Amino acid sequence: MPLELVHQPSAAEKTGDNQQPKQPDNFPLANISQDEVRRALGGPTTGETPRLAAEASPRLIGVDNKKLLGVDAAPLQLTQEKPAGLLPKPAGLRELPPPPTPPMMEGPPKAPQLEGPKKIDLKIVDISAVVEQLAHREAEEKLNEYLTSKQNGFFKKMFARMGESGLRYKFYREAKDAIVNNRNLMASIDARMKGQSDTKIAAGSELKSFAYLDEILKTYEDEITEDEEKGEAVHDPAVNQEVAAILMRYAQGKIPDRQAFDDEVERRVIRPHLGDKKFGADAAKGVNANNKSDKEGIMFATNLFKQAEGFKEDINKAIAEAVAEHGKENEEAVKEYVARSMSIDVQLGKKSRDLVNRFPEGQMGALEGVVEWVQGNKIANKFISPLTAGILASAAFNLGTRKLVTLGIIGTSAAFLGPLAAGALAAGAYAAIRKSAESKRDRGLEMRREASGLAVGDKKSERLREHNYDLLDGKQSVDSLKAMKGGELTAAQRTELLHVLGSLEIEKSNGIDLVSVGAEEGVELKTRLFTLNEMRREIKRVQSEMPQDEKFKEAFNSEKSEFVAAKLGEIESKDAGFRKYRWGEMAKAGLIGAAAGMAGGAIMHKLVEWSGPVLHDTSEYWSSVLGHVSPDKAAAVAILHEAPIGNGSVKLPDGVEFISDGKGHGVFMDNFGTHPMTKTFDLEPSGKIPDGVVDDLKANGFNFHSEITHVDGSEFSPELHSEVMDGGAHTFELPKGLAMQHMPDGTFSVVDGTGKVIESGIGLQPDGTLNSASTDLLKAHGWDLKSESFTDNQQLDKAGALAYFKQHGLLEQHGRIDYHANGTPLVHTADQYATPSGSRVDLIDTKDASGKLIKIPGLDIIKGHYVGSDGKELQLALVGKGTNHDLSVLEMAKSIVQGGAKNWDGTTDNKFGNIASHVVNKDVSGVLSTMRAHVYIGGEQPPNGHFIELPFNKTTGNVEWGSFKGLAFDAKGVMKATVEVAIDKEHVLATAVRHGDGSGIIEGIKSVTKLDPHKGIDIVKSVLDRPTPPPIDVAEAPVISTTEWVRSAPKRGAARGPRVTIPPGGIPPPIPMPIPTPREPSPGAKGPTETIRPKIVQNLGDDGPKKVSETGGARAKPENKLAGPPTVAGEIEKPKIPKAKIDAALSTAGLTGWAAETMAATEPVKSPEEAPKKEKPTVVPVVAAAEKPQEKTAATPDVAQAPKKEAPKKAEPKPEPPAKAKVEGIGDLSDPVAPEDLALAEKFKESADVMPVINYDNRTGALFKMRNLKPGQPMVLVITKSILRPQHYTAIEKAQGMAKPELSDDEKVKNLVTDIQKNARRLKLTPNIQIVRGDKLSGEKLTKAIDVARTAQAPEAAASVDSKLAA
Amino acid sequence: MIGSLPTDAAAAAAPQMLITYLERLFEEAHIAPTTEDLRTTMMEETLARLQQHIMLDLLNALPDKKMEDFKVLLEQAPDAEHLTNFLKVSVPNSEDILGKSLAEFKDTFLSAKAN
Repeated sequence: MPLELVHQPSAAEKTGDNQQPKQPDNFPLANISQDEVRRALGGPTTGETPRLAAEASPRLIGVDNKKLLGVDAAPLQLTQEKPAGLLPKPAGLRELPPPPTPPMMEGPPKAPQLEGPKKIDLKIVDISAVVEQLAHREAEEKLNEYLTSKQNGFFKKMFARMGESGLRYKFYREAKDAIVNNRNLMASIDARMKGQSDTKIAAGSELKSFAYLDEILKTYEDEITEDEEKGEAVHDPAVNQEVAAILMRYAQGKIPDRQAFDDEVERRVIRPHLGDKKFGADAAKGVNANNKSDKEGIMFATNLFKQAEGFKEDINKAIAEAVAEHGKENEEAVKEYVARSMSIDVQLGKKSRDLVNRFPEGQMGALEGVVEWVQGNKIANKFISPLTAGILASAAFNLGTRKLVTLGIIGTSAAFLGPLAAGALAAGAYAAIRKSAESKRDRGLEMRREASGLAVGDKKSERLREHNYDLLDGKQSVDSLKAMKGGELTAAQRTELLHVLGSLEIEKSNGIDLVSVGAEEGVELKTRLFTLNEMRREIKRVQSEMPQDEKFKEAFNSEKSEFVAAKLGEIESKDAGFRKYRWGEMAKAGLIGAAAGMAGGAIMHKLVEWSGPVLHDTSEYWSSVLGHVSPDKAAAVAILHEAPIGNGSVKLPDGVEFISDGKGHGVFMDNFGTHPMTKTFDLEPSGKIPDGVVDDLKANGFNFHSEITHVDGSEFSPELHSEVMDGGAHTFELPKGLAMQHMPDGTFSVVDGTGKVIESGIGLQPDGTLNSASTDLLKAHGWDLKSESFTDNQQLDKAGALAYFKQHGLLEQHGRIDYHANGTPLVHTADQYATPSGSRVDLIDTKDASGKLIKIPGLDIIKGHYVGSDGKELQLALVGKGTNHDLSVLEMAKSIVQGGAKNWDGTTDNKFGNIASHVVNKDVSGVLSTMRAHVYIGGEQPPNGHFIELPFNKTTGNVEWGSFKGLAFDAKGVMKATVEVAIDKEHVLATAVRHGDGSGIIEGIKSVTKLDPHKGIDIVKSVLDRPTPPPIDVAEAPVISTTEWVRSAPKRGAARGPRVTIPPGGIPPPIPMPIPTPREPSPGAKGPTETIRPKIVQNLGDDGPKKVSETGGARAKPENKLAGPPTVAGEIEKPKIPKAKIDAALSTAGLTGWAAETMAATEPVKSPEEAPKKEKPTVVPVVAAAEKPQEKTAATPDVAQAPKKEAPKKAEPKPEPPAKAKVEGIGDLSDPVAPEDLALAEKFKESADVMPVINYDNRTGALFKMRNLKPGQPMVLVITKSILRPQHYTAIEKAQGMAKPELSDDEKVKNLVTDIQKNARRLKLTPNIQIVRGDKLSGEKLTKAIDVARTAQAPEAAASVDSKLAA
Repeated sequence: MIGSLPTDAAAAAAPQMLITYLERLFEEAHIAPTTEDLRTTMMEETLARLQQHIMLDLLNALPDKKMEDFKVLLEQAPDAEHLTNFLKVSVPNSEDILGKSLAEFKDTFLSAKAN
């Protein structure tokens, strides 16, 4: 039965707004999708997801197919019955009147009645910001639970408060890992203050997560996104290819579920093809704080699965029907056709948070920032509190007063009360500042809780909510909006609409939540998105129904501005109230802190009195110093110590100290800092100690040698950032600007932003911590190291377990087709039975209703409940004590032997002998090398057609569980997985079905390694002294489709960045990125500062796949020319073209004739018999056809009043004057070439076809890429044998106004160079161009060319650029 | 069988080019239905998609100032020839766009595979 897609009517359609316009009589494009035209015109689309309905469509009767295609001049008449096309009709497609004959066709209207294209509007949304939002909310809620729980005592809470920032970050990190690892937005954590928290996956959370994801996607489908949430539109053949393949695989049942589907989309589409695309627009600074997120690519959401579900039945049915009608032999052709008939448009997006309030982010002052730092530092937060602040201040005051008294600045009386006062002051201030920071955080939390529908908590929560902003009730607002019909609003409705619009506007601009949702949404689904989307949809509808005249708009927008101003006033008032509240809290905390600090200060003062010397007048000590002077003092002192002075250090003999303010102002003192030896002085700007001071020292008998060393300081940032490697197993904390790379040999390397390898060969122990060799090496280089590991258990649901299998490469495929009652699959083709007579026969499944029958040829049908494919049960052999069991495959093998080769049904196990011989011969290694242990954790995990194989310990014969054990055993240590013993992939025996449900705990170990450069001076020295390590050169992938990421070399020349070859489909390895926060180089600093710009060079071989479009690669559709739908929460806008007219565009002209004419002008057209063989395509110019279009150009219709104009003639390539840009070739790769140099052309005469490539893929790409060319930057022009089809090539040439088909390859090359130089001049660039040629481009050639291009910069070109820039 | 369509170039030279174009497209895509009906149906559909593809590209390239004219023209329910001529004249470099559109369509068609 033919299929037809139907669609859910949109709201507009339901209201009759989408009435079918009167159609013109002739419709050559009758089946064009209205959605597509609307989109092209910038109008709204229906936005529905296609659904299937098995419904008969009219069929075409009596149509001559030759006539359909216009081959025959005989007229065609369409009947009401049309043929069912092979493809489903896309959503939004309407039945339109029959199309007319295209202009070039003779006769009355005729056209094929087709079902139209399979258009897929794929949305791919980066939801990193949403993941961050959820993780932050989870973290602050968990911490809040702890701090407000009555079960936790005062001291527990106090310590939690002391480390609040650190705990919150810990919980955030754990919550984010839980979400990402399980691909479940609802994943949460069972927070633990110490050690790793467990992941919690609540029942039903997967469905909630999918609902949340779907709602995010609806934001895009319904076109109610904010501007900054929308990224590039991508139309890329490579994406088309992958998506079509995934859809076909899903339709054929090769992808089991949504998790696996989404995995595949991410692996095959997003990572390889969309990684460099913009998912979100750049938000203008300050316009939308909500859009700020430095995290990208953590998780994605796509609507492809939803569409795949819709198309699955459709595709299969279309194939089945075509096969039924046209025969099985056409199945493959139909499949290919269906796959290739999908046109996929990809819209990228980056979803912003829906809880926009990020208080107190950006609200903390400098002192509060210090407190935050202390609370986030694992060591500092243990010791720094108001009490310790008081003690420290008191101690400092004690020491300070001693010096001041010594120097005669203050009297001894001040030294008594000073420490007490200092302690009280410091402690009070610290406590007050800490309270201020806490109050701000608590306010942010309460605001988010209220917006999420959470009830008031404790008394503090109640007090804080008094200062929360007044929120709109989201549900009520939606109800109110729904009641607004027809554009006529009552005064109350108008006010309500203004409030809603104004509130959303403030939310966006000020980053605060002004709409609350119910707890069922805010708590259960952890979002406001459902309500906000509903509001936006209603707003869009209401706005479209409102009057559109300018006067009305002006008045309405004016009222809205008034409301916004008033609301902002309210907000300011609430903020002022909170400030008052905060100051009160700070005062209370300050008083308590001061009391504690005073106590601490008193204690410290006493301690100092007990341990330190009593202060004396300075005069006594001058004489005392003089008394120590002796001519041989310096020679007698052998031990030196180093003291900081200014920006350097000074080595001093024991007993001499430099007391200073840290900036070089101070005095040398003897007797451990109690006796001044010199006058106080300032270091000279050069760091030199003034001569007079040295004289003083010499006069005191010291042979003082001042050695000033200038150091550059560390070239590394003191700020660290985290690099998470190996799926979260290893975390490295490194200085910002450095990156960690996982090398093919398993070690790690540290590289800087220029690709310079700072450290290499870093190895880890099994627990993830640094091994001893790496520890020694890094310490020797001056790094301050900390490397530790911790357990990381995660509760995985079924989907999480599946993701885990995949991530760890455990999932393997086999040809199994069936499940038996014990949950283990049967190998259909490999299971043989030996009959009583000894011959072997294949089993044949009969599968009755119970699915438990197996028929053995030659025997009667056997009935019964089989526990294994051969009716025997494998004896489970667990060894070990308590709950710590291991699975012994060796013991299990023995049990097989004990059972004998004879099956209970009289057949013989043909695999028995293999095992038995090893066991009988006690050949343990033989058994273990032959047998395999497959594990099934239940719940149809792993999915049908797959198995999980775990390795053995070759000595004990026990399965090595690794982190898998938690999935195989339950909490009581009882094994819950079914185990199968196999030889290779063939099933032998399985245990009885266990009770696993597909979920479980993954036992993992994570490590954190910190490389802190606080000994940066040594590191600098170390780095500079060491020879530059050779570039990391990984062997090229053995496949032809490779993409090489090549970075520019740093200026120092010797070092070249790592060149890593990425296998197709793989995720590009971390490329050393430009330093994110470049620091100003210190004077004299030697570290490289230049940033890099990655280049992508397509490796084009003769047989290489054409991954990048020959027309320029991925092409974003041009911006639509007409206005889009009304903006949400913004000014009222309407499409410029009425919808009825847009609908009328569906009937646009017959283009086939024109297209054919253009093809005639651009392509060689041959009869099929003349079609070139693929191996050697040739270009055949068609002259006669090329002349035709001009004759058929008709006048523009009068009503359009378009000026008459001849169709543009094909431009003859005009010779360009010789370019000034320097063009060079290198070595044996190419010859030096100038634009007029025909020698190069001679080189290419042997090639049947030549493709010019520059940097990227082809001429179009090259010219496009030139826009990104920087002044002075070299270009690499790669010319190799063409992978372009000739007709393509000529079409592109024509589009670019360049070479004509009749041009020789040599001339094409010449023209290309000319064109590039022409473009360069237009862009005011004079690039140094390197040309590489070869029948098959190799990575070596390309790399060499790039290197030469970099280093062979034309000085005059650079000078020219510099002068231009200066001008 | 591909290539078995009549090649009466004298009857309709331009459409024949499109047919040949599609046949070559099918050949390169290894789509080789064994029945005439099936092949014709596939080609009909592909032809329709090609038209849509070109149309969308042309509309996207239509200058803003011409859009008003286009609106007016649409109100007149013009026939195919009028619209075609309007686009030919109004879209700058329309033939180039058409050429690129053809190339892109072919790219897309050939890049997708069933597996």
